[in-house]
Amino acid sequence: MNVAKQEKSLARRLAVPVAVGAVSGFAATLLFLNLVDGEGARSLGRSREIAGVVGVLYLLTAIGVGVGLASPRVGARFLNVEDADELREQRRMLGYSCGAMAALSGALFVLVLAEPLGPVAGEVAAVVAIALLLLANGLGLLQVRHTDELQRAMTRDSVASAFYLLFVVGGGWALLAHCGLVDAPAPLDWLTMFAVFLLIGCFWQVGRRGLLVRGPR
Amino acid sequence: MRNRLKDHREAQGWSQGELARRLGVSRQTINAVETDKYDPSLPLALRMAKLFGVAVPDLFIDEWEPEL
Repeated sequence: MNVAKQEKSLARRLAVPVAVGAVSGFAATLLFLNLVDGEGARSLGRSREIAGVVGVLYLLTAIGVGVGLASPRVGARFLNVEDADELREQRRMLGYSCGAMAALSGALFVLVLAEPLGPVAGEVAAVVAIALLLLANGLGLLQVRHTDELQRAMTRDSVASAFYLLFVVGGGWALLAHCGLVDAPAPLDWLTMFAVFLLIGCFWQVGRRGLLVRGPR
Repeated sequence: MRNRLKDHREAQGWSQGELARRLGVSRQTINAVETDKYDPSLPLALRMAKLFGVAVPDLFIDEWEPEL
């Protein structure tokens, strides 16, 4: 296959996942923001809304992977894999990953809905969120058992990227707040930053290694 | 780092999946190595060389030359 044809084929392969991700992400975010800021609903405030949007992104990613596991042929059309067989081969690893993302999403949602602005009692929200975060970590550890060296390398690099992003953005924000120039980040903002920078770190590392566009077999 | 993994694999008539199974890694890793997107660890490079019966420098091409 010549280079032009190959690029066209890869662009076509990327078009569906990008379109599905963009449309579903936009629609789900809009739905969430309408739900929490709708008429009659008490505004949850900027920190909780952003945490909720990050929760929606994790939930959508988990649903996408879950659909891919349930139906590899369908999943191969919009997930970043070679073919349906790759989803079948990595079923256990992706299953743990899917569960971990759903648990992290649930933890963010319950924190968004915690008192005093939300309907969930603070003690209940804390217990549920801690349980879900422990579950996410446990599933993450199980996932590592089914990864090979490339996936482990990408995980290490993703976590390192997340740390640097947190240091620059969160640290920079805290620095400015310490100097009295801006409002300090809320506790929920820190949790949101941990979650979102991990997600960004993963995409960053996959993209940096050129694995968003997979080569010919 | 450039490599000749694909040439050796195809010479054996193996698919990426078959090579991945023999090496105990994912097909994604074989694809990433063949397309120069990932340099394998030393243990994996040694296993690849052993599997094809060649030396590591025959499989992976390092163009670095020591200064005289």
